[in-house]
Amino acid sequence: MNWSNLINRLRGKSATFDEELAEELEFHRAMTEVKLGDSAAARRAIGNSTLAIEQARDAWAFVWLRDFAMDVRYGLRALAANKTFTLATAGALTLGLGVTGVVFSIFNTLLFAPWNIRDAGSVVQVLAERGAPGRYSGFVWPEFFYMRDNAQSFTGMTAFDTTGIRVTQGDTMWTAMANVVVENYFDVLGTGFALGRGFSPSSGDYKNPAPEIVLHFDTWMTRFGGDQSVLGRWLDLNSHPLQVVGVAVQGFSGPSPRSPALWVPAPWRQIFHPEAGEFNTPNRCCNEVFARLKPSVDRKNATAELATLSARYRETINRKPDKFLLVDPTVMANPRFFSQAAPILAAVSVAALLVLLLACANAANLQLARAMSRRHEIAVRASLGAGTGRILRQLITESLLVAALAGGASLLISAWLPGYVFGSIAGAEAGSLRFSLDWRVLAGILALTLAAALLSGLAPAWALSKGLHTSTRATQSGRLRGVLLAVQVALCATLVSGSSLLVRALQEARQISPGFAFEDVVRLDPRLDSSGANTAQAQPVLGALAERISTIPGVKRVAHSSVVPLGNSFNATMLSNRRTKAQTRVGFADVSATFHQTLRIPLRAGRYFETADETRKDIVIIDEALAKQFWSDENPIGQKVGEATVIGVVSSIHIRGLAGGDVYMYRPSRGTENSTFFLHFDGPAEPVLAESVRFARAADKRVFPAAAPYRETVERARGEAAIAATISGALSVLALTLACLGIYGVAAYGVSQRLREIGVRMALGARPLEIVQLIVGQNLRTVCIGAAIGIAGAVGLGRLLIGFLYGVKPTDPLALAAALVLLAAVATLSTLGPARRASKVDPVVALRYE
Amino acid sequence: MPQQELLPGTLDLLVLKTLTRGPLHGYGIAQYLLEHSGQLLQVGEGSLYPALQRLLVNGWTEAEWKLTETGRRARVYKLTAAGRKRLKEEEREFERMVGAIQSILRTV
Repeated sequence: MNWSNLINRLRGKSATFDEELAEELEFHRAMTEVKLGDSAAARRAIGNSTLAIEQARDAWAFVWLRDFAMDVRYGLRALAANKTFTLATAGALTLGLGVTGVVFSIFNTLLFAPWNIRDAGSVVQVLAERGAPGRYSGFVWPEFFYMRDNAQSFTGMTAFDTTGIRVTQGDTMWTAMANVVVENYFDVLGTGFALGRGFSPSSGDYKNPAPEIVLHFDTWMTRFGGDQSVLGRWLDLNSHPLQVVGVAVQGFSGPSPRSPALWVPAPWRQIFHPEAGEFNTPNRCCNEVFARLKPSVDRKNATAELATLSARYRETINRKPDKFLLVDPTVMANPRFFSQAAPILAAVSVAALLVLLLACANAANLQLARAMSRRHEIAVRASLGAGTGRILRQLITESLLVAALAGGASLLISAWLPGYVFGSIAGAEAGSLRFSLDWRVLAGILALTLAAALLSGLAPAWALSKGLHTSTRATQSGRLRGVLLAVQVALCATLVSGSSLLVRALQEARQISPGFAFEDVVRLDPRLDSSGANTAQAQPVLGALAERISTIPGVKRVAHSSVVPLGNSFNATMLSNRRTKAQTRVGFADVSATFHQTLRIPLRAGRYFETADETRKDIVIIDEALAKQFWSDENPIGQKVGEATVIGVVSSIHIRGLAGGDVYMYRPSRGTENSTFFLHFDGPAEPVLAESVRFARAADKRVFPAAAPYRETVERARGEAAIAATISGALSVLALTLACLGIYGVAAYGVSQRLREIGVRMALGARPLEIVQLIVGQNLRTVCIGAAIGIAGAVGLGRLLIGFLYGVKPTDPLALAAALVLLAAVATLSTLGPARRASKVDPVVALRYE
Repeated sequence: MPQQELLPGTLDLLVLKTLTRGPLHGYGIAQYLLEHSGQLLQVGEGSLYPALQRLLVNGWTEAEWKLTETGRRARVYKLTAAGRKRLKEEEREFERMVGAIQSILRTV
């Protein structure tokens, strides 16, 4: 083989190749002409010399590369020539690829990407099966310490837990989410320090831990302005002085979805929260355990060792040994989280794929319409000798180019949007999650782009190249366009009815009454505990404060409670059910005598508390749910709950969340250091908010009270439904936009194809209105069929959403009808423009056209 | 004159065989095939020149531009040693094929 020749050709010297072949063929032609004595006959005898050159070229291996370069050049020119088409197609695909890219990037971070910790490849999260099979959590602290001291499989084993604390810094106070960690935490997982060091070994001393703090980099920046002198500074944490010994390197949050503001040694948790009782006991679940495997040990052996150790440890406390699971250190590694998140993930990915499919159908339809308008150009190429395969390749190359444009744009979108989207959904709950374009995301987007290019390019290219040799091309491509339009409408209908269902669910969730009044209530948190006060010291302050704030103009009634309904606080105790003898968890709140009337919780039997009751320990008010569980049909008044006598039954309210299902009792109280005030008022809220905070601040100079409309607390509890509705709402707006474009494109194309016919109709006396009806009606059947299929699909997919529907059925007629009406309106509107243009057609111009 | 279609794959064989008589240009090869097949095999350049390129790529022939007796430049193809070997193989292959076809024609 002549290598230098081949290499020269590959370098682009194929001009010589073509010239030589042309000369050779010209010689052949000349000789034939001499022989036949007639140049026309010679040309006939020779046939298609271009084809001969092309096929001769095909003999060379480099030919596909050259063809591809040529196709790309030609394709780019063709795309540049029709910018509107290019932008519309690339835009549609960008929407689809952008949405899937963002979703994929989020999934990647949640499911595959390891935490930002040192050498994550050799780190495992250690989970223990607890309670039910498949329910995994961390360890109880004493078991963890036993494992850490005895396990041989790991080079290091560490654990952490999360707690809220108040940090007082001069005369400002802020609440912080802190990770309480075992002292070797930074040795096992840390990626370094911006300043200082990690915890000293003495900080692990349970009796007398060293008072050390490591700050998160962001905390250092925002709270201390990046001041170097923060090292060695003493801060006041829940009224205990601790010293800053280090600042973690930028970007380190540990294996925790919420960025902790700071880290403190684990024993401090108990000192910060003495009221919560002993942590280092086998009864208290659970911390999060991470360990670094020794290179020589695999997970199976490590698991076996842990099981052996657990059996030994659990024997000493007379319990059954734990089962263990070692998983990669990723966000969703715990099967329990994964199974909770799976329905959301599934619903979101189905929706995103639907949008992508819709975008592909849209792009396919655009390309089909454009290909039809390029019939001339393609027919010319075909008659010049281009084979069907050659033309197919050209068309596919063009759709690849458009998809590449869209893929590039969606890369940009996936680079910055996931963090924003996820941040707005999960808020501070996921502050430490970073969304980066790693190789998995890049590969995923590349694969999706290729798939989109083929999906959107194959059908039109096939239809067109087939149409070259048949006379039925117009009707065939018309049918294909119809099918594509129906697919678009169906996908859009599925998405729109899905989100219509979720909006209905949101309404429904809004209508779930929490069981108490909150619209005209202000919540005042005096935060007396932040001064270190105990219950006995807090009560007189609360009493005085209650009197003061009831004098604020507009305030009708004031109450306090140790628990804020729907405010993420919950106290519970185990009581034995008198009827079934079963242990039942009963929530409790210590409330003022005015509590039930202030929140207007209706009385069902007996009486409310009176002011004189507040010092009594022997009476309780229970809710209906508890009454039903404990006494069924009997009268609960006068019965005993624990040591106390029931004096009243009130209707049940939602305390922990809108899902309900708790039983509750209320104990009379003059308040605790954790009590929150509720102010039932009249008129504008602002003066009440401002005045009540002023009074609370005046009551104790050391505290930093806060007041807010109680509505905000309740709204937050309803947030979950709103999130689902917002996501799917955004997706269905995208879907509607795409479907709108698709229907518009098909209608506009139809008008341009039927211009002549319309002209004839007008010339024969058709009125503009009839023309509009003709055009609008043309696509209506297709739209209706598509919508019917789509809504059937939505009902099927509705099962995925059941967890978010708050009792709305997937077949909810109102939601589906709303979706249909919306879709029909959009479809009609999109056809109206082209139809109007058609009705303005001048018959004379139309008939002369072409 | 009706043009006879070649059995697939036989064009390379015929071109190689033709070139054993000495170097020839494309037109010469076509003429030779036409004359020696009793005017039956009219090879169009649509197939001839791609075939010539194929032989060239595989190193079975060499090409050189030469002046013909009429004073025009023409590309002249010459068989290489590899081309002779290839011709032997193709001839064997062809006979095997013809033999196979004949044995079917005789038996059925």
